[in-house]
Amino acid sequence: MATDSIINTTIACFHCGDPCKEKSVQHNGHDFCCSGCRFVYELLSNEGMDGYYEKSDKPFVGLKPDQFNTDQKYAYLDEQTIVNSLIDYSDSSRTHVTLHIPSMHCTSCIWLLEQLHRLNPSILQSSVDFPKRKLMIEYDHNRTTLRQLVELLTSIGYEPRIRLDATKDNKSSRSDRSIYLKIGVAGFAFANIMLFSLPDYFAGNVGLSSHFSALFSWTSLILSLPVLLYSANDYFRSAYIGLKQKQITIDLPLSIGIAVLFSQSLYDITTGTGSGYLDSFSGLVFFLLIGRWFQQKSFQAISFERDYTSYFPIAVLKRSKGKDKSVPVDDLIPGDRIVVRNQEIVPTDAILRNGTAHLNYQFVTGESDLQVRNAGEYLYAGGRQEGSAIELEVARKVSHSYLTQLWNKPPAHTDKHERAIDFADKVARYFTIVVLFLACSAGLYWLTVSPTKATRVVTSILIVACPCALALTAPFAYGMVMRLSAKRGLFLKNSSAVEKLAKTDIILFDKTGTLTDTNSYEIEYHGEKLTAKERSAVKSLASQSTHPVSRYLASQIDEPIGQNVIDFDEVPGQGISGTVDSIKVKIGNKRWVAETDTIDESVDSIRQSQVWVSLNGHVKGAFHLQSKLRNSLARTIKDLKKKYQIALLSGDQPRDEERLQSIFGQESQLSFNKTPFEKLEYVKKLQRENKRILMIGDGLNDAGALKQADVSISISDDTAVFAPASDGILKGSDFDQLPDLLSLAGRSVKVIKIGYALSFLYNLVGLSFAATGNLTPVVSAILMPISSVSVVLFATIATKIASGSKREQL
Amino acid sequence: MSVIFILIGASLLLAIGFLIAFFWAVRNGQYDDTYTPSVRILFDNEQESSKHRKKQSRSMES
Repeated sequence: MATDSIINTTIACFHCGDPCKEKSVQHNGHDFCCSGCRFVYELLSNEGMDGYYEKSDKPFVGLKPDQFNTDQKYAYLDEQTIVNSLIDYSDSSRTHVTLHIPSMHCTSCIWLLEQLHRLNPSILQSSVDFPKRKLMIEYDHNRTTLRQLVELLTSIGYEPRIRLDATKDNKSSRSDRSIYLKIGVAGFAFANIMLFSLPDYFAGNVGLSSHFSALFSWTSLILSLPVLLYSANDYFRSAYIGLKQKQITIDLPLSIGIAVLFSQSLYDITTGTGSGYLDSFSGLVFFLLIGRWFQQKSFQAISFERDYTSYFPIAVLKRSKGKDKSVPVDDLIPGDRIVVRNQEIVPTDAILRNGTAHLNYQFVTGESDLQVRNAGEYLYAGGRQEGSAIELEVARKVSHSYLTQLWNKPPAHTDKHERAIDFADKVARYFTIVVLFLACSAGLYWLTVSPTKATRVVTSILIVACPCALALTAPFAYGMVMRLSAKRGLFLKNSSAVEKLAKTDIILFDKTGTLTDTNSYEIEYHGEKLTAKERSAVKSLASQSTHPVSRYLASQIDEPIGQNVIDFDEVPGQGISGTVDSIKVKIGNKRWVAETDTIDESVDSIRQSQVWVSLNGHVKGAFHLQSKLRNSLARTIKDLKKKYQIALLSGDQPRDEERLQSIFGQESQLSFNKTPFEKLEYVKKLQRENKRILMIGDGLNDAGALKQADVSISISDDTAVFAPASDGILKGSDFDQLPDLLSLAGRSVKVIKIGYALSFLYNLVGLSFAATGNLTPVVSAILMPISSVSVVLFATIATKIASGSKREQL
Repeated sequence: MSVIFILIGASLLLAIGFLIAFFWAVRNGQYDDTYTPSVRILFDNEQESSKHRKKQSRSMES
């Protein structure tokens, strides 16, 4: 279809990899798509850093230098209070700062970012943490400023994402280290205690000489103390917390097992009656911690807990007494006058005082059409201004705006809590009761037969019943599912999300951005027919702009780009104009193109975005753009319908109703025109019917419903950009994987059930030893690792097979 | 046979040494990012700078 344009655009930009347009920039024998990319190339080659282009064979997709004017964008970084809240450390000459750079993606990026000192000598050192997409910079603040650093990064295409809440992340990553230390201590004790226990096991009937056996036992006891006090303390703490809330979790029987194991050993060693079970004890803790670590798999580059603050600007221009000054958004009070420039976000509810607002509420509603507001009108927070600067009067504090209230509204968790109890904890309840009952009855029996043996039998039962295999099954199976899902585009927040996914009854979809692909449109032209030459002129003009709609329009017109564009002008939020082959072309919104102030927006124009075209001052017609449904939608929905009830919950006009109804089928309910609060209520209503809800959405208007639903997935076409808080983030391009991923979650729960059966079997074997009073340390030392390791192997391998077999069916 | 007491003491000391080394490595942040250093070491050092010499040392308990 568009072969001409494909031939025209096969030259890839040497820097960013984007296809070059007709008028590519040539320099040093390389092609560049824009002067920005050439600038970066020159900058790098002048510093002898061409090596950047050799480090990786991946295309540098998306690494475009910032297109629009950044002159004032980072002016707020001159404010010392803001700088202080961003930096990690500062002394008289050096400052350390950690910046989050979502656009780093390859080996070359690491190399370039660690060579920053060559671009700006005041940078003393820079180092990258790739999995977290973080860049640590140490710079001399007497010679350069944070603003200059950020502007340098932006100019070479690595714009940092600056958020005041980013400082919180650093602290949480520090506490993650303790799991390594705990594993280290437990492993150290386990290995050494095993060495001291082996001689005892192999000595057979002869036995070790008493001074050796005492030495070995006592050293083991000392070695095991840190395991009890440090490595295992999380289990005791969580069991205690559970008890305080009158709940039995899997940690309770574990803690009992660990405690009894240690006390029995302590008794045996201090009284000299035996060598104790310390090797089993430390091994048990070691394996449990490894399970916990495996389950803790986190996707460090992705944040699941983003709230409105990560979307809002951190500072805004406040106008007082004719002077503009950057202030943190939290300091705004009603009555303040603020200035919002092109591409900036309205930070709070405000009244428009000066200028015309062209706001893009895509982030809030998913709808990318611009909304026009005139002076005196009330603006809600969250819109991005696309046009010249506007002056606003703050109506509400940031923390009280309509948007933030939606975030802060706590979901009705009271009934949700009971619903969300893990399968493992549910099993643990019965398990604990049964074990305590067994221990008591066996104890009572032995009291009548041979009272001296009674306590030993009771402790043996408690030791053997310690559900370590049980506790290991779920972490490994769920951990495996999380890793496998991530490979296929679904990043889950934690392991309990896997289980909740498996229990889903109803799937609710948002429409815009979830079912539709925000990056592609269906284009239809309405109006006076354009000649081939005119179409070519429109294409030439549109291809000059970097606006996604213009670019898309240009790619959809299958005429060759012919003429040079003269007098090119782009008015943000309005449109573009220029002269092509002596035709004066204007493309943009209706009012701007027609040059009238009368807006007679028909119903149609509200329902669809339109790009109007005028040639030589004569309005010709408009391209109607409609976002496209995802390619795989029909098939995906069909697959999902086999197992789940599905429904649509859209905040839009019912413009696609027929099309969607045919995909969803007559039995599925489609609701349109829902406000964010109505969406939330809808979820609550279904939950009262005792249904488990999976909500899939993308915008802030879904945030309430996502929070309230039993489990939620947000769809994002770029995991680096904003997605509302949810249990999982699914890449838009992997939407068709959804049925598979859900069934994988379902299979993993089956795997866990089989794993539980297996570990019960081990417990029965152990109990038969214990109840008869034959649980010697050596039996425990053999049984414990065998059961743990075999259950772990089973859980990981079975989960892997469960996902693999499914793939073959496809 | 009493030499075994010395040997046990020595082996324990050695093991504790490794444990301390492991603690130091974790606290030093060497386990925070296990990916980037693997890439960094492959870059040519056109300009020798100390930061590229970060080595990853892993200590194991005996």
